[in-house]
Amino acid sequence: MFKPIFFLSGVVALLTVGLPAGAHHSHAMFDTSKRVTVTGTVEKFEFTNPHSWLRVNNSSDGALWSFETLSPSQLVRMGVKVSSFAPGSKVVVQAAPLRDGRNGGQIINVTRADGSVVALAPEGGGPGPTQ
Amino acid sequence: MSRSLMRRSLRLAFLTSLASVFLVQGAAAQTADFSESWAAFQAMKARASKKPVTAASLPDWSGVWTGSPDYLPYYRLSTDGKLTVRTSPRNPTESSKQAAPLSPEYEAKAIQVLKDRVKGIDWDYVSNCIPAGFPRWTVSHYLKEFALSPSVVWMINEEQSEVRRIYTDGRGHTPRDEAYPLYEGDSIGFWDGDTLVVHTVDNKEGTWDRSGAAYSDQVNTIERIRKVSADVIENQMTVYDKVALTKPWNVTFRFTRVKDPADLRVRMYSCNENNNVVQDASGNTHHVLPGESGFKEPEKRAQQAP
Repeated sequence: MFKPIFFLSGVVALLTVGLPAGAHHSHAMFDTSKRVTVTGTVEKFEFTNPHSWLRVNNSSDGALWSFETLSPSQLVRMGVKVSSFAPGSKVVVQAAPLRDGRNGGQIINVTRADGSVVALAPEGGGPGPTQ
Repeated sequence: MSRSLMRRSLRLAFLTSLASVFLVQGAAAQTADFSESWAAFQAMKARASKKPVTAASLPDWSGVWTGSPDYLPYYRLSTDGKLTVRTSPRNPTESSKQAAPLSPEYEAKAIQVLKDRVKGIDWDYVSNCIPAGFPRWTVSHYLKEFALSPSVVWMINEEQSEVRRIYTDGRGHTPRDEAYPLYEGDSIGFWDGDTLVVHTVDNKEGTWDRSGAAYSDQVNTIERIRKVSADVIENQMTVYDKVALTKPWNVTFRFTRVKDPADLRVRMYSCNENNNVVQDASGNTHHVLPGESGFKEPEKRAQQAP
């Protein structure tokens, strides 16, 4: 089951306003002006510092994609848990892609099998006075 | 003791402490001169409440807090290549809406950082899992906790588990011939009522955030930290830096209480736990992905030294 927080992407987007940009490194490797959308199944959701990672197998060609997201304490503050992206579950990930074209990016949002959308974009969605 | 005698002995104590700083600084060159901020700190101490500090008299700073880079001026490049400061609702304080009095050298450095970013080249030393260090510690948006005792205050940052120790037992700074540059600097302080006054020296150079501004290894600070409401602890900082600034810079920072979830805990944070960020040959930030050379598997983190 999912929490009411995930019912509407608009609601989640509002809730994320004012949350910190979550990066201990520069965003420069991501092209925040672009979006890549990957439909696939979750290989694993790494709940770790300094960044959590969502690894997804692309349904169309089986390629492994790596999506960076916020730190565990930031995710917990947004109601995202380890169980939010269970291994094997279907997801559609929208991300700011890596500039060099490899299979990776920074998560903007994730749509889950039940249609709920989890917005995880760092504030501003790109470079800023972040840590 | 008569009032004039007391004043004279205070003045003598002040001059003696000032002289001791100059004497020891002459002997060692590893760390910065801090005579200007030291004089200001000593003057604050002379004026402060002399009420004894006990565990019961300390303010309640319990809970989980967070900082924000929004309290810094956010620098941008104007179309003609000059440094400007964003003013938006995201800059909640007066000091965040005005540029720091950057020296020409450090203004040029900030401009270069922003120009490089336009070209797609960007690197932040914390990506190497190096601590943010103080004073950048103050604006880290990760979680923070404050542990207060009459003789020492611990200020704990989730990011890199960086702990500032502020000794309030009356000791002075580390003797100059034992001092060396530190990530968190060397901090001593005293309580003036419910305000913690802190003097910090012996810092490493660093950057304030990613909007370009940096501080040199000459930086030293005075902070006046006070809980101004149930959910806000304010830090009025004066930054002294003879290399990066043309004059001392007064800037106000805040720590705000994190209320949701109510049982949020601050954890030990190892940046190397899952850091696959490296600097590439062009100086830019680069991610190593699974299957690529050098990728660190989080499952094997205990076996992988940085």
